[in-house]
Amino acid sequence: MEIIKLNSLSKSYLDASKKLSVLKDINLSVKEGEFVAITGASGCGKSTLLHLIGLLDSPDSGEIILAGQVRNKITNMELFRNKNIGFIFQFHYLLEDFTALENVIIPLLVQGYKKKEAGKIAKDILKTLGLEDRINHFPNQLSGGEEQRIAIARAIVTKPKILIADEPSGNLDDETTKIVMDILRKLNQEGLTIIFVTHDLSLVAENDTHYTIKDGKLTLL
Amino acid sequence: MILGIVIAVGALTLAMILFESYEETLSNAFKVSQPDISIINNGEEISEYQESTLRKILDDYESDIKALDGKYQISVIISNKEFNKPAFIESYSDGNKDYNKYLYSFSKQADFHLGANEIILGEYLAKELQVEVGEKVEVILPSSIRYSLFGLVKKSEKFLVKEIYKTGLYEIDASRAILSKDTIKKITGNKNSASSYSILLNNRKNDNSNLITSKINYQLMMSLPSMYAIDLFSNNSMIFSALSLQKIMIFLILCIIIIVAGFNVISTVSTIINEKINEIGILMTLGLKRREIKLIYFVFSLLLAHLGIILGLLGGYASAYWLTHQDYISLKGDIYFIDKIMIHPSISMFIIIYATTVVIIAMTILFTLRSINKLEIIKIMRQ
Repeated sequence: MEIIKLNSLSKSYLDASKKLSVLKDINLSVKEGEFVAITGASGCGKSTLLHLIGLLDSPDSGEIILAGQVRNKITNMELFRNKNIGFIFQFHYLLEDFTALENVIIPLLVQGYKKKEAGKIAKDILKTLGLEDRINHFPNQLSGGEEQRIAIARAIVTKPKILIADEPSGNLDDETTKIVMDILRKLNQEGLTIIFVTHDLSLVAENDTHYTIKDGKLTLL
Repeated sequence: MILGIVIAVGALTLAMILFESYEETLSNAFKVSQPDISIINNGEEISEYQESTLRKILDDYESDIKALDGKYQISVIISNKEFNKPAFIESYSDGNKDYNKYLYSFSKQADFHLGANEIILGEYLAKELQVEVGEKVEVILPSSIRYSLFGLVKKSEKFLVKEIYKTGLYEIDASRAILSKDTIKKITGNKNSASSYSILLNNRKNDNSNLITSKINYQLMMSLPSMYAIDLFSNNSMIFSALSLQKIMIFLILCIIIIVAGFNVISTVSTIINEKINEIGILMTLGLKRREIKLIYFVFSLLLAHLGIILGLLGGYASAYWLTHQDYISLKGDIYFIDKIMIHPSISMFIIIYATTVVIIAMTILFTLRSINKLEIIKIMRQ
């Protein structure tokens, strides 16, 4: 079953009053449980494509269908994003004034969960990711790898259908990158659809659906 | 941000407490120095017929009246040989305990007998004459002073200072002396005529004295048209109106300081938004609506501002308390009517200051948070 479908998607930006076409006539179809890797040079439009799929930006033209729903017909975009899409970025973006546990329960609180119930779910996720002894730590008390793992926990705590990962290992050393990638692979094996953007080709596995972006065009490798 | 609010709210609280306390202290000083209602006979003395008719009218108000007395007043010069001071003498209501207690606020017994050669002086009058209890002063009737072949002739009598009273109202305490009725009659040659009638009420509230005065005036108009009653606050309405107006003006002026503190809030909240811009971005990606994010920062900023407001209220009260209890600076009684303010903060005043400040600060926070509407997640995440 198709969980992401992009039809003739185009996106451009105005750069010093000059129109810059970043994505041109993009078509993409992603099945549930697929691990899609998107590579390309810096500035080729990888992140722009992720932002469009993640409903953080709107296309100039074309159609986006996520989990069977057409983008333009989604009435509550924020709630749809909260329930269906998880994000991890190059930087963890954890809230510095909140503990690891509090950071992870935020998406559940947005959904209307009670704090106690949300805490229980978040603790289970943190335990799965090997962070049970870090739940009451603040981000500045954690290592880079731990921070990124908490960001992953926050992204998957609502059990989204799609996980969007925008160069999640960009700030990590090799050892930590391996830990993070192993987590993503494991989540994918459990059925989570992952759209993974990187410029590091060594992180792309053989079984991944591998796309590259060049001159605004998406090509399957 | 907090310091600005503390200073602004503190200044507003201090000014308002001082003004309110001044108004209250002045009002109390008027109450302990003047009767609630005075009945006057167009500047003339009250005749026996008028007095008996007036008594009959006042019988209708027996339940409202705590004490009443016919007043004898004369203008005199009081001298202690070195100093001469113009003053007015009022008759002492001998045995009228309630009347004396309320009107003269004697520090000791309120119903003692005032002998024929005894006088009571106001505190400032005594100070200016440099006399104390037990010493003698000379009371001179100005109308009796004449030049003759043998020099200056004056009619005067010496009195022993029996007591010194203080009402708190400088004007009264610096010019009023008290003699017994019989003594006043004797030195003026007056047989039995009071200058006015003074009434003290059981319920001394402004509205009550106003109402009773109106009723008495209606009856006076029917039977004694030359007489009229005037209540304490109407008699001094100019002062109280001016004070009220001044208090409102001060409140409005100091609200401007809070608005200036509000600019400080705008700057601080803007800085917070800029510092937390990535957090705002991530909260948006996690599904929070802009409205909800604004609510978080609104509550956070308002709680922070609350700390400033509460500290300002406490600081303002503490400053007002210190100012009214210190002995280094005092008011000039001849300018401000009283020389000391008794602190009288009211809950309603605190509520008004609190509510006004919260509204102003909340509006500035909301104004600043409008910038969140313009934030774009993509731009934030790209930063």
